This record gives sequence, C-alpha cells and structure tokens, in this order.
Amino acid sequence: MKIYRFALILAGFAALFFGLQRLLTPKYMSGVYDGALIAEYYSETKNHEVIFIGDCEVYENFSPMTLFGEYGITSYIRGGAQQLIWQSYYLLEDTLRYETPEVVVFNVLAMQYGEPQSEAYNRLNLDGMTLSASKLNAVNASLTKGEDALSYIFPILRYHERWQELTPDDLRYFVSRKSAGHNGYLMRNEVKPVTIIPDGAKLANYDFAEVCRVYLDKMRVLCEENGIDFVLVKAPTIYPHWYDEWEAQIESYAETHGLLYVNFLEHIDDAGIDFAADTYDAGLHLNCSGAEKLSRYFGAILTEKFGLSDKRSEPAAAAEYAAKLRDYEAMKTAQRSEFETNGKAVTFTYSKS
Amino acid sequence: MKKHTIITIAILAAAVFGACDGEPAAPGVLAPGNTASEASAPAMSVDEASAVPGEAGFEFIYKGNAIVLGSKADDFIAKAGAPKDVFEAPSCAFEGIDKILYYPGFIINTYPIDGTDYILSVVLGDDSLTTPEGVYLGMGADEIPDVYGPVSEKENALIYKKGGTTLTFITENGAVADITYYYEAAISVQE
Repeated sequence: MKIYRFALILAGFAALFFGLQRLLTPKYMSGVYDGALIAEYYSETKNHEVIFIGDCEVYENFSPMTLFGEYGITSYIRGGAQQLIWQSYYLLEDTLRYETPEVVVFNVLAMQYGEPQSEAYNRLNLDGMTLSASKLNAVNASLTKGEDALSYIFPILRYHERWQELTPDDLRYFVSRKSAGHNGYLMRNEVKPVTIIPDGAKLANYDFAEVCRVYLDKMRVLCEENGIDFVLVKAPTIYPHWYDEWEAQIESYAETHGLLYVNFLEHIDDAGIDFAADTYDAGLHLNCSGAEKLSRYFGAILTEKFGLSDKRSEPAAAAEYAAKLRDYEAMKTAQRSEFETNGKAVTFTYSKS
Repeated sequence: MKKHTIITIAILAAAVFGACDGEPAAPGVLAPGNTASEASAPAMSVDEASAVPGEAGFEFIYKGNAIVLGSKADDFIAKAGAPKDVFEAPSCAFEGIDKILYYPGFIINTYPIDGTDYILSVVLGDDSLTTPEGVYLGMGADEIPDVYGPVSEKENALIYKKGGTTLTFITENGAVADITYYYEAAISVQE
C-alpha cells in the first residue's frame, strides 16, 4: 500500500513536471514560426522521394507543394534557421530512422560556419527533435558556452523562468498546435525588391573549416550507404555573400565524388526569378512566388537526373496532397490579401484540412 | 516511507528548479539576446557594452567625427550626415534588422536592440581613406607593425585588440587589402 502511494505521488510529480514543461516551452505559433518546423515532421506521412536539409535557404526557397503540383514529386524540408552542418547531418540521420528517400538535397551555405554560433539558433533546430541518439549527438556538437545538454532533453531546465512571460498562446496551444510549415516550407508572400547587392567582406581565410568538410563527407557517406543520391545546392539569394573561393571548393568536392551540384545563383534568369518581385526581404530569401519558380526549375532537374516517379497518379498521394495544396493555396491567398491591404502578412499558421 | 517520499520529491524539485544556478539568463520566448543575422555578430545591450572595463577601443575618424563602436548609429549620423545608401538585412527567424550604411569609401554595419541601431563594425573600402594612425588599403603589410606594434600574422590577417574592439588588416600579396574595425565586446559579453 505504501509502495502504491509512493508510486502515485511520483506519477503526480511527473505529470506536474511534464505539464509545466509543456506550458513553459515556446510554442512558435507567433513571431518565430521557424521554431515550429523541425517538430512538425514527426506527424507527417513519411514516404518522401526527396528530403531537403539545411538552413533558411531551403525552408524559405523551395516549395514541396509546387514540386508535387508540377511534377508529382513528394518532398519534405527538414530545415532550420542557421542550421549548422552537423545539425544537418544528425537531422538527416534522424530522418533516416523513419524513411529512406531517393534524393537528399543539402544547401551548402552552412559550410561557412565551423563552430556553434548561438543558443537561440540551436534551440530552433534542436528543441523540436524527438529524443534519439541523433538528437543527443546533435546537441553535444552544437553547445555554445554556458549551455547545458540536459536542457535539450528537459527544456524546462532552460525555460523555467518563462512563467513571467507566458502569453495566451501558451495556453491556447498547450494541448495541440497549428501547423506553420507546408512540408517544411515556411511561406512568405510579401514583396520587398532588391535595391542593393552588398559586396562580400574580404576574409582572411576562405577555406571551409575541417569540421564542415568532415560532416559534409559524413552526409555523403550516409546517403551512399542507404542508396540515396546526395545533391548539393546553393540557393539563389544575394546575401550573405557566396564567395568564388567557396564555390570552387564545393565544385571540386562535387566533381571528386560525382555529385550533382547546382548553384542557383548561376540560374536566376533560367528559373525566371525576378528580384524586383520574388523576394520578401530585399534578396535574402525568396517569397512564395520566387520559391515556386525555383521549385519548378529544380523539379525538372530532379525528374530528369533521378527519374523520380510522378506520384500524382497514385490515389493515396493524390488525396494527401490535395488536402495539403488546399491549405497551401488558402494561406497564399490570405497572405497576399493581407499584404495588399495592410502592407504585411499575418497568417502564418493553419489547421490542417 | 513518508520520509523517503518527501526526500525523493525534494531531490527532483531541486534538480529542476535549482538548475538555473550558473546558467545564462533566461531566453525570453526564444532568442537569448541574439538578434543578429547570419552575417554578423551576436548583439548585446549598450549597458553591457559600457560595462567592459579598461581602455577605449579603436575608432575610425570620418570628417572629424569619431565612429565609436557599440554606440548609437544615429549619434554618428547626426554629426556626419546621412549615409548615401542603406541595406537592410533581416535576421533569420528573429525580429530585428541589421543594416549596412554606405558612406563614401567605407561602410558601417549596425545591429538592432529594441528598435535602436548600434554600430557593430566599420569596413574601409577605398585607398583614399586612412586609419587615424595612417594605414591605408594598398600599404605594405610589413609597415603595419611599425604603426600599431608587433603582432603575429595569422592566415593573412593582422589583428589588434583594444578596449573591446578589434582592428583587423587583411593582407593580399604583401599589401593591406581590407581594414575592419569590429565591436568585439559584443561577442565577449554574449559568451
């Protein structure tokens, strides 16, 4: 009886602990929607032909809905803000626990960072991962000074002081949250044209850090071991600057290992991207119109090079994506209307059809 | 048994709520004092910056006006005039816009805190400008130690630190190719 009571008290404490943790952990349903993306993957149907991994240059610039609508390619973006290359590697490893895509696409801008940058970006990329060896390894590789690995397993250790900053969102989304991403794509429909293209500051050393080379290689080998085609891309955004010296190193790596590498900066006109209309922040990221153009262009390459099948004729995929496309088009319409009326979009989350 | 239960709960509670000892400040909703973009350094508050003890940092002088790293950009603009152009670079995910202010021959990078822009770095871009001590783009790299003192060159860069700032000379083919003033205190305090 005493043991039973003890167990009951422990269970009560655990419920309180996890309830508080859920309440205090950021919900990413306003402001920083990017933080919702990584976790959303786990509730998806996992049968994707293409997985994108990388930083904002994947989740802001490629539209999986366009890839399906135009080519019948099923794809998902496991992207995060300023995702570091070791985070990309472990997210890929994590993804392969659930599915084996035919193609993995990695955006190479992250090669510029040879060490952890900031806890804030770590949180956006790691908090949403479910507990696994991949997550633990990603956390250990990413910790900045003063961070505690345990707080990535029990976020309440980091967020316990948030009780002073709780918002109605924390209660509203305590049980379940809306969706922010469309297969990992974060939609933006505002327009802010490019007016200036900043020069890149000179660097003392243009060589990628050894750790970046190591993780790039680990991703390539992991793909190879799983029979996956590994593709490198550089998104067509004009800032941060992509140096010729970096380009040469990636070209050389791709050539050495027989990988497809597409630097979309060299295909801006081919893709039909117009930086007067297709960016929402003066060239750092594409808006929805730009992402759709880029996806149309890239979809043709993926189809041709890797012979991906057209899933639009498969009833299950067709039904699944019909619902997804409805949600996608509804958000697009809402954002465009909001931008035209008020100069800014406000609809960034939705309830799935 | 009751005693054991109380002790167990006490230990678990201490593990959770006592975990803040020695940790950095709470992260707010998410961003722990970092609104900087991918291309720039983490931001910090001006109060934190001014708390860095010791000597004054490096300064670049434009039209007789010192550009004080870590100070409000508007203070410099009020004295030296508006930049000829401004590039705005929103940070990935977090709110706030880093800016590049274009002046003749040099640029100023800024970072935002609570809607106010602070000076993060100054980069000299043409050989018509010199540092207050007389170094200019194209000058022989071997002359720099005569001006700023001995320092070992690392990966084509000569780096001097003073008062929470760095002054970096990047060299190419034995000549100065880039001069950057940087608010190093922003990083050290962040860490």
